[in-house]
Amino acid sequence: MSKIKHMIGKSIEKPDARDKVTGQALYPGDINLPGQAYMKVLFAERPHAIIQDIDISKAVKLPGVIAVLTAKDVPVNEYGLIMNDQPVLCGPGSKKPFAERVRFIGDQVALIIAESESLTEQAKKMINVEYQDLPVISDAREAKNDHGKLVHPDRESNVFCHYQIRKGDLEKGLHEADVIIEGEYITPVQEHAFLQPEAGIAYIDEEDRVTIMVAGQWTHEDQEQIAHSLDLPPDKIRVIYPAIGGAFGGREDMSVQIDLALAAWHLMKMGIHKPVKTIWSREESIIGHHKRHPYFVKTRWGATHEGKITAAEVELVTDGGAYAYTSTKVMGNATLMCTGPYEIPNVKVDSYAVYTNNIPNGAFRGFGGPQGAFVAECQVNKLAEAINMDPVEIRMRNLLREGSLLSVDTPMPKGVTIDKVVHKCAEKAGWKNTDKGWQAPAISKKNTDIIKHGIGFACSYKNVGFSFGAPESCTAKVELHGKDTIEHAILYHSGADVGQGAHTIFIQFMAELLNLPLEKIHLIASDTARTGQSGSASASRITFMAGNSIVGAVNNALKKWINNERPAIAEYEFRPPKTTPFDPQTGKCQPNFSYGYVAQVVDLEVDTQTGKIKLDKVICVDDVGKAVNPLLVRGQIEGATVQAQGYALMENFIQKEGRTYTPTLSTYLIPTILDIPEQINSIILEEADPIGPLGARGMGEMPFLPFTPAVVAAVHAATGIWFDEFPLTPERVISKLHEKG
Amino acid sequence: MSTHKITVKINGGLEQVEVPSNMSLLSMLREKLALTGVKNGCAAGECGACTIMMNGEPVNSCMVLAVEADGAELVTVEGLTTEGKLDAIQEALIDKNAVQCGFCTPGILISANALLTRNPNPSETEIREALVGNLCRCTGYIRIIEAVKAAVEMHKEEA
Amino acid sequence: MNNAHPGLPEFDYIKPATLAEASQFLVQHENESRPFMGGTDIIVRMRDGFWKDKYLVEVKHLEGMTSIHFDPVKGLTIGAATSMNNVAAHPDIQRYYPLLAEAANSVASYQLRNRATVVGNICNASPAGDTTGASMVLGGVLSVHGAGGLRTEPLTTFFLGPGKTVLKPGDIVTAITFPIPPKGWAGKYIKLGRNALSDLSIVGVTVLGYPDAATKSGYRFHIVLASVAPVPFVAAAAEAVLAEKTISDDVLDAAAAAAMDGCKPIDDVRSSARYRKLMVRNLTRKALDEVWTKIK
Repeated sequence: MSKIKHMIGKSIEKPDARDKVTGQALYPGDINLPGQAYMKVLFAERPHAIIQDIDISKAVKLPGVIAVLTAKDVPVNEYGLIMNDQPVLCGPGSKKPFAERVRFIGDQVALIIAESESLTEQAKKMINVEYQDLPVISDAREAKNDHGKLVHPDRESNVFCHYQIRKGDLEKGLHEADVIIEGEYITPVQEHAFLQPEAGIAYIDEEDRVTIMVAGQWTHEDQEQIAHSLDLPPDKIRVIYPAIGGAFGGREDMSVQIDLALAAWHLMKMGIHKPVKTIWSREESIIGHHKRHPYFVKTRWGATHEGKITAAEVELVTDGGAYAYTSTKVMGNATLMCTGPYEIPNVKVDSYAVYTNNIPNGAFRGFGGPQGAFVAECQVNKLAEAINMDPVEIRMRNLLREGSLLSVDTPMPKGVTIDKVVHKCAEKAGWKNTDKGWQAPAISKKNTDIIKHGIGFACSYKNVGFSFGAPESCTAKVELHGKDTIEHAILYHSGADVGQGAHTIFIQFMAELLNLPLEKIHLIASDTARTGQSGSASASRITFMAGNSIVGAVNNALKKWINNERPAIAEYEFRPPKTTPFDPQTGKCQPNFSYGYVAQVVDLEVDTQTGKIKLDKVICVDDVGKAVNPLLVRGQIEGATVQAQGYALMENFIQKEGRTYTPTLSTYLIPTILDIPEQINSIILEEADPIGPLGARGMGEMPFLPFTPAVVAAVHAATGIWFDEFPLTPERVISKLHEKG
Repeated sequence: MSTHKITVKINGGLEQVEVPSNMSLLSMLREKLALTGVKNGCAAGECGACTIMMNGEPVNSCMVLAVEADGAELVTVEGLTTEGKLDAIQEALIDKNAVQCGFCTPGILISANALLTRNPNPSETEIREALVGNLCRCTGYIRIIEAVKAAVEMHKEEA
Repeated sequence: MNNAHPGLPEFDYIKPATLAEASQFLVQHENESRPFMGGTDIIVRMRDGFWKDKYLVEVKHLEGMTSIHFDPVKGLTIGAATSMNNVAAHPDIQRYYPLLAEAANSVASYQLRNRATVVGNICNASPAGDTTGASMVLGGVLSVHGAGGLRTEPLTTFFLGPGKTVLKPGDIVTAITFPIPPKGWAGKYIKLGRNALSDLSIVGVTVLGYPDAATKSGYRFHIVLASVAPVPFVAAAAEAVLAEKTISDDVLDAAAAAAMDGCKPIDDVRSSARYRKLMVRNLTRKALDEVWTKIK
């Protein structure tokens, strides 16, 4: 028996890997059902307009066209993860006020359902939409104060979310400071560019449920939103996830889900029993789903000569785009994280999320954390320079520790390890802890007239799980089968495997807890008809939340097993410690129940003739609590680092007047295998989280956070220039070098 | 629009297919031959997910007309396995956790396999150059490079 | 959004038996047909709706279209449908025309280079073509089969504007030929893209230099710049500087500056015009330096 235990901490093979390397794994676009029809979306392709009329008469007469759906065909023409501010289909004829408006280029106007894909395309061209164009609102900073031009006329302002933090006395803190660093920062939009464009297939199942097979991140939230729009009880909707081709937050909001459900349901009402399939092109994917929020930041921080940070003031403005998506939650994180993993006695933060006619912004790995971390880490690195102190040393003097008060005036949850993470990372990169404090290594590589070297340091923390009072729980169901001994076990779980290996982790937990070999564990996953509410595969929460739910369900099932129940079946809903929302005046709250901690050193060179930056080495130290599967952890660190590299250096999403100029993978570039760092050194720390399952913390997002500020610090070390805006494209680098002269 | 009856040798077997002029080889493989292991990530020659072998060389199947493949010998990811036994490069991708979401994997496998066929002992630079046309958004490529190196070693041991 | 659909528009694929038949078909279907080689550009442009031809005329299978022939006296002939990879890997090209092999290897990705062709790159007349510069400085001449039979078109007078060339309806480029390069030559292609390889160039600089008793400096340089003008740009002013003044660091600087001053790039998603101009100067200087070091 004892030899089986040790499934935790072992890099077992992913159960889906064999299907994926043989081409057998089925992604939503790979699934075909007999008699299926095809669906195509007519997108608005204009950023702001009122639809006067939609004429579908020619399109519906085209032989082979089954139906063309518009706003009037949507029972409840609204949806949204946080607030129902988006029409399913824009146009006249629904009860939703102002639903005849299109507010971004990816707004959907009509759904064309036909016998073949090419027919949907032909019919789409036969739809005549009469638009009255409206002035385009594209600058969040202007839109914040302009109440004359509104994206949503039923609201008083374009600002749809405001938080504030008031801790201590900002003026007093600034007065105590010996140096004050003021900064203005701009962070860019980022596109997820998961490799699998949105796709899915919908049908009516044997129990008359509207069933959608789609790639998402949260089956039950998809179900809920579809049910709302179709005005059906949630149990009449079934959501199933087959293989998912990447997500990174980009599948957290609806894309094809409601469309597909509406189409299959509409056909059923017409007496037509046909599955409906859709696949988006890359261009549709890029205009059709949300992006990472750009941020516009003004800030000033003060510190004493002894390196004590005395005050931080930050104003954050973000462009939410046309609809809220998860902006309010993203902004919560940014509001907390913009002052970094530091205990600062005097803090004032004001943050605003603003509607514009740009593509909506929403969840993307880090969820407001990278934007906040960029501000905080750049400020700390600049303070260190101003007081002539080592960047590691200044951090050591201010880092959050056990019992530290956050900016929101409540103590950190137990298990704070950011100091250990920083220590380890500094050591690995050659820093020395001397009696005069931490000292950076001398740069060994020789600069030439053209090539300049530099290293940079940054560290971050990121919450695990939902924050600020959002309902948070995760359900697992376990069945134990056998007579005298457990012969096999079944786990029912909704948690989405978006590629990160969640299902591998689930099976490892089961095997460890039940002391069973892997092949005796069966997983039934991500099907709302069979698996319970798990919450999303996001917020670095799945290992933590699902792990805890599996621990609970196994314990309950084992109790029943001991009581001779056969099979022993138990369900368990894990609820972590409660969080609370920002106080509207002071911001005081208990924001999170768990965090992960990370530090990075980036070693790079700058070609001062072209502005090109080459990454030599990245060291990433990440406290994951317990590495359930070390190779999967490394995969997350490397993947997050390279995604962050794209964000920091290359990925330049261009929108002007609400139109995008980068709707393809040849105009919007992500890193190729030739662009990545020569070396990524992933160092995994295992400081148990007191409430993590077997000590595990979340970790999927964390390595993304410190990367950009570490790059900026390294480029500063190489060139003497601080970059307050990125991506650091060669052109941006050269233009700053020229300014400097 | 004209259609064409073509014959292809695909993963070892012969197939006759009728294709319209404007059908890409990618669409033919996925829609006519149900070889859905071949992925469509952009249909513009940019992502490499649709990479297959055509007459011994890797091509983006989205950038080839189906009708052009008349008489050609094609190998897709489905054809890398012989009698249920995985190729070394497939095993290596599993071993090194070079597969996350897996959508780029079929194209990566074909490109890597083609590299090892023309150059059984590639340097790391040669590995990177051979795979530059295969985008991966999950792994950061490090495990993929490790996997190709491991496959080289596995081939050496077999030999 | 140029394109929201994954499929290609309707067209017919024509496979003529001879060049004559192909030319005749192209003449008969003027403005609605074009020769089809590697397809890497045609497929994207058809898909995006920029080109709306009713017929694509296959020419890859016609005689000589995929052959490479080197003659130590006459020079090099590359069939028009020869893939970039076959050009880059050919031993005679690697040995006698390494600049061309290097340029071919810098195009997109390995799998795309199995379809893309040097001649296609030229015929599309994209100012960003990676192999156009090398083909021009090496004195490339196109063999063209048209309605009136065979003729040749030197690259020096081939380009009329973006996407526009001297080719007429019915014309099919069958090959590109290169003379034996001048004695003592060296060449360099520097491509600056937004990523390490697969992107189109922000700026491409091709330089070829060789000793030439006919110039005052004793050397002649050919410089062609990509992505900085509506057509591949010959930096004539820079070439003149290098022909007339005794080569020194200052003269190389002056030539690079002349290249910068002469080109007229535009702003696009890849870069601003201003950055392109600066890069023309820096990279021309770098390429000149490398070539000069080898030939002096």
